[in-house]
Amino acid sequence: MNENEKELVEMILNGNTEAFERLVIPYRESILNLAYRITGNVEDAKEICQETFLRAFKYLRKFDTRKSFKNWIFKITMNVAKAYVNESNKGKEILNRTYVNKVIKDNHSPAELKSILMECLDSLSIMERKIFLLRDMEGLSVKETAEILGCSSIAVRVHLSSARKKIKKRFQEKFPQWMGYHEV
Amino acid sequence: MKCKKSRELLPLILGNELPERKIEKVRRHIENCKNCKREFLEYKSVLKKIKDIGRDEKVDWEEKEWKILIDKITSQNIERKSSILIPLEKPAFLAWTLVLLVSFALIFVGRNFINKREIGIERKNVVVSKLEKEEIRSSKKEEIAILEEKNPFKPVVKAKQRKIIAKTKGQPEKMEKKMEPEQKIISMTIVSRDTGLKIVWFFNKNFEWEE
Repeated sequence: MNENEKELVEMILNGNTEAFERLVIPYRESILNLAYRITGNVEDAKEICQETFLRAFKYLRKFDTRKSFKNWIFKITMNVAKAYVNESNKGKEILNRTYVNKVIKDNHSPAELKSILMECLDSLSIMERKIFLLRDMEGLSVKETAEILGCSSIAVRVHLSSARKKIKKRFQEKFPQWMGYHEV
Repeated sequence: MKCKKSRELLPLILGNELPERKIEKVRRHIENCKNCKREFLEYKSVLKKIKDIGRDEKVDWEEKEWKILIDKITSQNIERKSSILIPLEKPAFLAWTLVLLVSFALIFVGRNFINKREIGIERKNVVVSKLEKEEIRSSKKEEIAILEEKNPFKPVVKAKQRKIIAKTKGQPEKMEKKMEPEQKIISMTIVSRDTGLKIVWFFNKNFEWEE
């Protein structure tokens, strides 16, 4: 945790609640996107995000300032998302949802409105999805990912390997025209 | 390294998630195997594209929406830590608590130790007095036994009858029925060696002569 964040946490705990916005603003986009890629829906993602920030504010006193605030808030996001996905079989609904949030530009007909990223993420289980998003999209280390998800580094490697294989397979099946690569 | 093994490890080569030694082995294999190299480049390409798409394809809060959210959150109260646990965070309080606990423990252990020693002495005394008592009792019993042996009026009680007595303690009627009658008269016969004269004396229980 950097010094600035530490100061902000102390300010909030001393009653200056306005500092909370400055503390969480660097993560507002990444947390929303993380939640969006897990749920596949912006509204659900916003709900998860809201709950995450609310919990972070409410339980800020429990946060250990020697640790990373980013990892702590990501952990809350993952826990909230897990509860959200588990709640009333939303998991199946979320995983089978058709994503029409973004229109893919060139080479795609209206039938292929579904985002490439979401299409690929669809092939993953919830755990694989979380690990892939944290490691490959958010750039966290294997150790940090394991800490956030409360599993071992080995489990992270196993799921990550499986996730990358599935994504490659789905990408090749659905978007063969995008498969060009340059030899290095 | 064989192709099968290499392909298993390829997804983890991309982000250097394997130990350096394994990465080197796979890289050496890729250099010499066209198929594995193609596979590796495909992985690399797909992952790069996915990351690029992820960077372009982002959602964000509308400013108005964000402000409302932050206002809503900051209007809440930050949860206080349990009032019982708050003093535990102060090192001075913790130190004093520990000192108190240790001293209480020492007092408790010390008292127990002293008590045990005292009890030990008392027990020893008790044992000694018990032994003395037993000795007195046994000596008394012996004396009584000698006297009883000497007593010519002692009733003849067989082993079986002793058992019955023991069983029927406190039931005198039953005892009387089952026991043989007590010897009430004793006779003494005196025979002269010379004349062969026989004199028989009868005594009662109190050694009074009876005609």
